[in-house]
Amino acid sequence: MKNYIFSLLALFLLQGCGDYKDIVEMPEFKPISISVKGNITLEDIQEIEYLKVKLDNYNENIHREQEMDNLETALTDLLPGLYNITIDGKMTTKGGETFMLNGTLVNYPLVKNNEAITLEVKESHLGDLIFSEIYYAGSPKHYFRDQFYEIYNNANTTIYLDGLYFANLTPGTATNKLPQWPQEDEDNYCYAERVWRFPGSGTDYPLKAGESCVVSQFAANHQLSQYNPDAPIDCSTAEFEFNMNNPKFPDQPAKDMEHVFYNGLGVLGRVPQYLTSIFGGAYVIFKVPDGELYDPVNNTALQTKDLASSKTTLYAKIPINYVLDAVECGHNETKISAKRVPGLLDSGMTWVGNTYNKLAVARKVKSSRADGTPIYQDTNNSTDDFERGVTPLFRRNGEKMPSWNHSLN
Amino acid sequence: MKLFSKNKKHLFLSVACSFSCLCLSAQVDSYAALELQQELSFWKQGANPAGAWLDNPLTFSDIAFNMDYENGNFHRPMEGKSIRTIGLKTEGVVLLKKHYLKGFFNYTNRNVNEEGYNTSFIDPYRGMPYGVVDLNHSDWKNQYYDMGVRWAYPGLLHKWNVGIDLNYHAHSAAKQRDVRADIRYMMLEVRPGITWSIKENHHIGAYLNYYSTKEEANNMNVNNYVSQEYYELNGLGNAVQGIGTGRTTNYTGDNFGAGIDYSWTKGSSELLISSAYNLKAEKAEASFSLPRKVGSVRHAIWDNHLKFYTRSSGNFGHLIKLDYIYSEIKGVEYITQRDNTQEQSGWQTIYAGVRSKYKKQNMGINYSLIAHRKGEYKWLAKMAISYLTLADVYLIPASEKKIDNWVAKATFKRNIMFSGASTPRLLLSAEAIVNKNSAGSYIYSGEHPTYITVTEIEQGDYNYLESDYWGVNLVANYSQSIQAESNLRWYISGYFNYLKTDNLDFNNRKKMGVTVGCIF
Repeated sequence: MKNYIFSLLALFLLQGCGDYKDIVEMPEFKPISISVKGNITLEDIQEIEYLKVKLDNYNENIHREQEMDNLETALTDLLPGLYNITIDGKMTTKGGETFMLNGTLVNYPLVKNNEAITLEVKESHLGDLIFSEIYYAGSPKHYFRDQFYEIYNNANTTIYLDGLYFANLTPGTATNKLPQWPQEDEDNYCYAERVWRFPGSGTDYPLKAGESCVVSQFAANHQLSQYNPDAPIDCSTAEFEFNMNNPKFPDQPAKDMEHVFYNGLGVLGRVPQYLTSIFGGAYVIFKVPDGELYDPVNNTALQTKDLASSKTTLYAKIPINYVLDAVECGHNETKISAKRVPGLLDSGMTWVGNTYNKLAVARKVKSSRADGTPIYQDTNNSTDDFERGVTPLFRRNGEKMPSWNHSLN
Repeated sequence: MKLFSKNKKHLFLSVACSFSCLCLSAQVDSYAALELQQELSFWKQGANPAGAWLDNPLTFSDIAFNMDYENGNFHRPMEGKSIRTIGLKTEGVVLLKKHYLKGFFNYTNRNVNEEGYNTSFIDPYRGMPYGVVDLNHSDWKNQYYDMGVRWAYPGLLHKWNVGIDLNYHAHSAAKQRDVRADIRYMMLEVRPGITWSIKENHHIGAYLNYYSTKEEANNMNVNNYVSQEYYELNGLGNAVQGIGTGRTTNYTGDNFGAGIDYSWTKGSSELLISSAYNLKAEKAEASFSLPRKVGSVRHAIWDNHLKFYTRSSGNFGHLIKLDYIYSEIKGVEYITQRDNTQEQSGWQTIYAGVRSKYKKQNMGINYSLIAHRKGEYKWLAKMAISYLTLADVYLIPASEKKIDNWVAKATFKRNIMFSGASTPRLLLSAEAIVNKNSAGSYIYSGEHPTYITVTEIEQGDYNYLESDYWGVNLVANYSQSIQAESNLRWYISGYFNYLKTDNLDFNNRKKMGVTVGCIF
């Protein structure tokens, strides 16, 4: 017993002295220099129009952008810290096709002076179908039924929503305690808590160029007295809703999204609401390629648990190459250190800064078509692509309503 | 977490309290006599416990109950709008043959009204920049237990005195609005010392000082439906914004220090020169379950004092004090990253460095003219001038807060003796104070200059510190023996303190209180 006490005492003193010495002898913070190199393995390159590197340290609010010369550049006078490093570019193939280029490192620790960093740069598929507005924060007096997601056709051709999927990823709320996924998955999947599918048999819900549709948690007029007169939005004209068969919040004229997956099952679950985090979730829309079957309920290879947790909750795997658009939201910029969406899908994060504050995030307009509909910015970085803290509004930039919207009939 | 098990704490309190009241055979004739004896006990005022016997110590016990109230808007941003305090103070010295034993025990209960921003510290200005603040001004309920003992033994090998101080402080505080804070603080201090008498009138001393501190701040929300906006401070206004319930922060620190003293006496003259250096390292970690380093400080204090007293022919004494205190805090910031690999080894520190410095210097000169009357004084006049300079810098991106202040004080005390067998005394004191700011600046060049940490907390603090002000402090103390020839003397004293500033951001601060006690 006595030996244990002395051992513990010695351990305590050694630990204490170690910390004391470290603190007392600590050197000063010093800026560092680094070099960044892009590694492009694509063949058939005719010309690289431009290539630039972007460094973002959201905790310190440091943002640097620099053109790359011959796939390489040096950056000096950088504060040590965690950075998102992104290479963006544009190239033309010998066949005349134009592709965007993208390489991303998320939360990379830049702490060594003169470190040489190499990023794999790949061709990037920018989405034709994108989230144009997301309202997740809720409104005063703890009302959250007014959440909605607006999805926009940014392309020049009609896209059919039938059979496309919507999912929110896990962890529902941004946290630094990230799940542990199976090693064999490598970086080929993102992981969903709940998956929904758009209804339709293939051509029922066309979304023409410049049109948008809204998917509401509950597609009612929330400003009615029985809901929340303080709500910022009337969702009764939404095209779709997540109907959870709750008698208090009955089925509305909007089409119901089809429930696909929750905790390994196809049923809705016990809690009669589909609430995504009011702090901000991570959302994806995805399309299963023709000829492939996506059934995460019956195909256990598309299910996994969080290996770092003792909980038995099952999550649905979504192959990254299925994803049309992904947006990650969090409490504020400091939560970028807790990113749960792979950088290839969204290298940033957007936020409204608080809960129940009646504010949304809306995508920035890059240009507009001849008919006045917007062309939205989509650089795979929601920090840059979204306006933060806007009052929720459907079709704020002149987007058109699809002809099959129930309110038009 | 319990800082001290309840039973042990009560036992310790009982022993300290009993000991500090257990001293009989009081040798003091009045409250002014006790005050004078304390003022001229140079070694007792110092940090070296071994010097206790070199002061010709008196045995006495002093028990007092006090009530204080202060209000007014001339205060630092993280101090309360008004504060009600009640307290019990006990101190006693007993000489058991050659053993000098001193004990003290103080209990203070503070009800703070509308304290701003702070959610991490019992004393937000104690020199730890890495705290959490929120937007909700709140009432606080604070309790302070402070206790300690000093033992000294003289004449080892005829020339050596030894001694030791043991002090323990346990404080707690609770913030009454979301973000709630439940804070516990404790400090345990050990200070062994030694003196060597070169000759009968030349003494040198040395001591070592170690103390350990721990402050634990638990933040939470009672109303879970409303997420609170809070800021994690990095110093001089730099902060990271958060939403939710704040955090649990664990502050642990160790201080190692040493001091030397030299004293000389001749007739009724005495000189004491002392110098001490303390170096404290304190770290702040978020969360107990998976600790993450959020910051640490290296706090060096160099403390220098000279005291000289001489009594001229007649009944006048002259007391001169010179002080120079240098304090430098270096704030270390950490870059951490959570390990989400299979090992799940928690938060990893990937970089650390000193990123802010807080320097403070205080120079002062103080002269007192004392008109003696037997063991007490008839009147006392004091003049003091001090110069305080603060130079705080944040290194990258560069920000600074600098202050230079001159403070002058003039005090006059009159000890009126009334006739009567119970030797009644009325001690009146009036003090005037003038603070003049000679230079100052607050320049913030960091990110988010609109955060409240910049616009209200640091700018507000700068506005307070650079304010010119004047003030008065009036004290009246009446004391008498409980009966003729009795060693038990009771007293009642009241004070009124008023500070008035020219700064249009503020107005004034008033503090008043009453103390009832007895000496025996």
